Amino acid sequence: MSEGEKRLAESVSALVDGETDELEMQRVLKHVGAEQKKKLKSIDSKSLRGKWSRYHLMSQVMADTSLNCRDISTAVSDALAKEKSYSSIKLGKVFDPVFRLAVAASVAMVAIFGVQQLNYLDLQQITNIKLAEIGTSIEEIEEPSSGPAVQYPADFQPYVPARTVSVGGNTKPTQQPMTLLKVNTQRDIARDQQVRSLLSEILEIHATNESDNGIQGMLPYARHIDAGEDVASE
Amino acid sequence: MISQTKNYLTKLACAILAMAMSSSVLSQQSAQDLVGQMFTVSMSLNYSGVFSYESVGAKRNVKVSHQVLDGHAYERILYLDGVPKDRLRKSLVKNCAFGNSSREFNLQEYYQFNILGEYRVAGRQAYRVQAMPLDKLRYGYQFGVDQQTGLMLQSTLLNQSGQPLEKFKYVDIELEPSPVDSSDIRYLNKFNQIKTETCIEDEQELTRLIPVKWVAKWVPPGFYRSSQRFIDDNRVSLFYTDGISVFSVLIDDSPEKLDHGRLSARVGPTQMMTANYRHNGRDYRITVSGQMPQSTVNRIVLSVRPLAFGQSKPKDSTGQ
Repeated sequence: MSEGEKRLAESVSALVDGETDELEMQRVLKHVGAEQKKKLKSIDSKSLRGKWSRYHLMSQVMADTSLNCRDISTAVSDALAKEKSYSSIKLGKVFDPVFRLAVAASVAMVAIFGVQQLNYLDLQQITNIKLAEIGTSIEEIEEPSSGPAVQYPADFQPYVPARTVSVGGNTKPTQQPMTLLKVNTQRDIARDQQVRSLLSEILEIHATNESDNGIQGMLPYARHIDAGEDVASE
Repeated sequence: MISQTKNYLTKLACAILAMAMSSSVLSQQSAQDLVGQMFTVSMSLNYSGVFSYESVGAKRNVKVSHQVLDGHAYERILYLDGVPKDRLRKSLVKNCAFGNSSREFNLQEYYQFNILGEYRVAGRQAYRVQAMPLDKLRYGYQFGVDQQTGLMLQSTLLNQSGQPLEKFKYVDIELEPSPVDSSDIRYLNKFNQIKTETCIEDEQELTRLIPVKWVAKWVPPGFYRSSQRFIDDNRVSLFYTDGISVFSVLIDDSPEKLDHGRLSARVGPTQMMTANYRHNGRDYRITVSGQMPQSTVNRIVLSVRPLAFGQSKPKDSTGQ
């Protein structure tokens, strides 16, 4: 028995007595694993597992307890070897790209949603700009109809977290940001006016209904200023 | 001695409690009555004054006068700011529905009424009355009601979280004696130039004018249709109210094609929503407008359906 084997045998003995430290136990287990790879049977007297069972037998004899030494370790390890693997490592490897794709997709979704929100904001601003452009003749209608659920002041600039990049060489750095969202086509204005006149008609009919039914006194006239007939007084 | 004092105290507490309860019930009832009669009063009284109006994006002062003679209301509305606008309106006081129908609105089932106190509006002593909705389908109001006449001097529309959506308030108001004859009517010559706004009450005439009857299948509880108005050959308007809140349904027969399917807009406190509806091969545009939450307006507009076909039976009309 070499010096190393002797030390290992002592360690197994200590393990049987429950007097090893973590490091020593790890060393013993490592050797058991190495032996198993070399296909040494547990009954082999030289094997550590053989020693382990013999030392136990000895301690049982010394302690005068009943000898009850059936070795089930081989059966247990055989059973474990036959057991199906439930390890998630393989599964993980298969689905790894899928998981990554999912993460990427959700990030993309957030981005798209964010852009849509921004677009919504832009549309709001376009509406406001157009309302301001259409000008004086329908000023009174414009005033309230610039008020959907979300309202912005006339000089409203949406906060866009982006850096301005100069493309043209001779752009002055002090130049004011231009409104890129300005939509000024004839068709849009026509449509806008169409919508506006529709809204105005709806309001007028509603206001007349209210006054006809005597609900809310003079209040309907305040809400909509085109009810009644316009007859300039002297 | 101690038990006697105890007894006395209990009785006193009971009396105070009873008084408090009765006064709260009383104030509930009287607040409701004040609001219930407020609109009728404003139709029948003679007055002139200036009120201020404020809502999102609009602020204006308006000078008005209201005179009643022989069942007709003569109203002048002069907008004091911006582009000059001077409007006259001559209408029947007892108009189509609200004046004629003696429907009692069960206001207390849909609103909680409270008199919050007394204050002064436009130099007059008024009650501050609150009408808060018991559901989330309509808005709440705070009114200033003149103690002497019951006229509405102030109105604040409140959204579901109690934020004001519009404020209407008389700055100055003068109650006037009833006009004796037409010479007492201001701007009479101008009023003679305009036609009196009336409504068609004859059922047969209505059926002829409005062949397709429309109805909102869903309305918030407590709302009734109070009028149906023939506007022109292509347009009919229905008007619904619960006694305080109102909304209109407008039906356009074959409207000019708009390149949008649905339109949802808000002008000041008025929410509007349109929807297209196809019936017997004809396109209709349905619009609901009212001082109501958007969700309520949307739900109403989607429930508007043709009720029946005037002359022909629905069975025939659905054929080829």
